Amino acid sequence: MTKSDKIDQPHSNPQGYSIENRIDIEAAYEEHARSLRNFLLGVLRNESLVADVLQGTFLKLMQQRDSIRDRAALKSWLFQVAYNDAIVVKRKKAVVVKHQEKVAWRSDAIRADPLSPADRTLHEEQTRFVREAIASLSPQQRAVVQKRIYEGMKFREIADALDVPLGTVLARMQSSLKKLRPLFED
Amino acid sequence: MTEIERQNDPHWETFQYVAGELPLAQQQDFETRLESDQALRQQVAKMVSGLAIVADELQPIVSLRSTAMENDREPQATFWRPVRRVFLGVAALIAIGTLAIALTNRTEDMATDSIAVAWADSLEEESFQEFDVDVDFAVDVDFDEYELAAIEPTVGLESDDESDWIFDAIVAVEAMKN
Repeated sequence: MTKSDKIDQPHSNPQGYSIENRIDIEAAYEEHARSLRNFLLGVLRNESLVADVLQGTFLKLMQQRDSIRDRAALKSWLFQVAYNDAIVVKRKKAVVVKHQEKVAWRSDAIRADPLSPADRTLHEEQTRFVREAIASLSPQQRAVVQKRIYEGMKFREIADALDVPLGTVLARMQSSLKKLRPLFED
Repeated sequence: MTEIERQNDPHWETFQYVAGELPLAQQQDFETRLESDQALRQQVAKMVSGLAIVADELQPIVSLRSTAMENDREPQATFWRPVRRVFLGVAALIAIGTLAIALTNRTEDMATDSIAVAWADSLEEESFQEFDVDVDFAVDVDFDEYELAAIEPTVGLESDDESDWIFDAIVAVEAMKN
């Protein structure tokens, strides 16, 4: 039995669910926390709020895991709960917008979780792919990508800094992202 | 963004949302879809993790090429930057050396000037000293006016018009005696 299939099923049940068929919180955290954290960073762009919402989501999982029918529904359930809580926080606190990090994907939290061997292999492959993709960019494209993704400058700021039209900056960024597309797909 | 545009490039809108670049109305529309679209949520998660890898790989490039990229110049142009620096350094050293030499010469000139001033001052002092006529000598010796006129005046008296009245006084005193 793999780690991802870690659901206690001591008694078979025609519906695939029994009172002892409980979600393993630890296993669920190992499988979904990283992806969930990245999702929340994309929504909130605030590291401390992300940590709060993530913690709250798994706390609710502990409290409501009996209501979850099976493992297949677990991921969707987690993302749904996390998103609902994130939007409530985002719309309540205007300060969230003011203190949003310029570059959410540079958050230390993304790099904090240890990688499993399988994840480490995937990460190495992705890194290799990214290096090749960046090398294939034109200097003009690379300048825009560097300023937007690494430095976190807004597109308007980049247009001013490079003294090119905003549309040119957007076009360069969009064409660069197309070269990186496999990185963003399942 | 239209539905057709989304289908053509689904990642572009997701990137804009994650980067905070969507206009407010479009951001709200995106979040409405996030409420029920699990695939879109996973796309957001994938976008963030992918951009993290890109940012990590961009880091070494920033320190070496950022200035060239900013001006859309070819990276090879940066070769000339250190050469220019060396040239400017040498030029600065030459300028400093020239200035030092000029200052040294000026100092010597100033010293010479000082000596000249001091000599001139000493000349004035001598003339002042020469101006101090030995009146006793003028009184004790009997000179008639012709003999007095024949006396060669001293250096200081000769050049000092104001001393004529002393000479006249001496003559007058002699005249009275006679």
